[in-house]
Amino acid sequence: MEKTDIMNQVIRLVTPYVKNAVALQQAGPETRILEDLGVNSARLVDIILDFEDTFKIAIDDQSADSVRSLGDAVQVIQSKLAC
Amino acid sequence: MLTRYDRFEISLQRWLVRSSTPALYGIVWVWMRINRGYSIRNLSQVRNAFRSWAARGEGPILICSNHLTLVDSMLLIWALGTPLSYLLSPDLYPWNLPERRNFQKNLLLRALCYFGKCIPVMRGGPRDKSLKTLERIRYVLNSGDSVMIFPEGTRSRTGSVDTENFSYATGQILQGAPKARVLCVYIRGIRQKAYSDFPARQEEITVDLRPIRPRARGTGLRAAKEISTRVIRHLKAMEAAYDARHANNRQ
Repeated sequence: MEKTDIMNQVIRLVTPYVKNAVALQQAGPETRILEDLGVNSARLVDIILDFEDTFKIAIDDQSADSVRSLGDAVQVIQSKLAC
Repeated sequence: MLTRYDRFEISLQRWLVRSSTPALYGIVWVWMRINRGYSIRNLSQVRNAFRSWAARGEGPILICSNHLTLVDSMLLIWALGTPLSYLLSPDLYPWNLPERRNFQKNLLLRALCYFGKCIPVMRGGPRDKSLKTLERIRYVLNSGDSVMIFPEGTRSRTGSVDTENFSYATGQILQGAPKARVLCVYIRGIRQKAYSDFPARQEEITVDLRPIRPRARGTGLRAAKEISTRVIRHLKAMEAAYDARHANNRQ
């Protein structure tokens, strides 16, 4: 799967939890999920679980902890898809 | 992983708390009972129920309560035991998990937090600090101490148990403390309509207890979510039972 496709999917999955809709419109790999998009930290778990379900992958706790930006999420998903 | 120094810090705090419990309990009791005029409905029954349930089984206790005021943990400590009972069974005097920012404002609040047996937590804080805090909580639980947590993560903004925006910390704690027993507690003042800093003066407070065993089939984050969701559902059911009993007061 192409990086751009993964990014689009990631943005789609994050959208329901985003409080800062303006930041989402300009979102890129550097966009931080909690700080920039205003996602509640407790909901980050839901987002990770959504990634698992959508991409049919398993994300371990260590990888989940490394997800801070949209780019991090794409990287983690891409590495899991390659396994 | 906790270092030897971390464990020493916890042991020191535990010992200092034990020494100061009667005095601190007394001060807080005077403030709640005399100054604010609070009373706990069926106090002796609540204490007996808690004591007998705690004595019946083995394993540390995770007390999971709904959260409406800043003094819920103090009220619950009062409701569940006396200074003497906590001296005789110090493991039943629970560790509290307040938001760090609420207790960093001045030295007095910091001291109150320390001697009130608190492990401060930082919601949305740096990941490494959150993990360290989680380790501390699991450590005290696995050492046999009780811990009190508000699974909603914050005082409910709706005035009811929030089944949408709760954190999954309860599940994460329990995953690292497999022998822990869970006691759901529903606390509410008869005139408490929404969240507030304190219950109203002269408030009569109800405390309901329900032991549960929230286990999950999976592992990792999914299991943490499942366990936390089960706890929240129990609290919601306890709220429904409370509402049914007090329907006239809440209209």
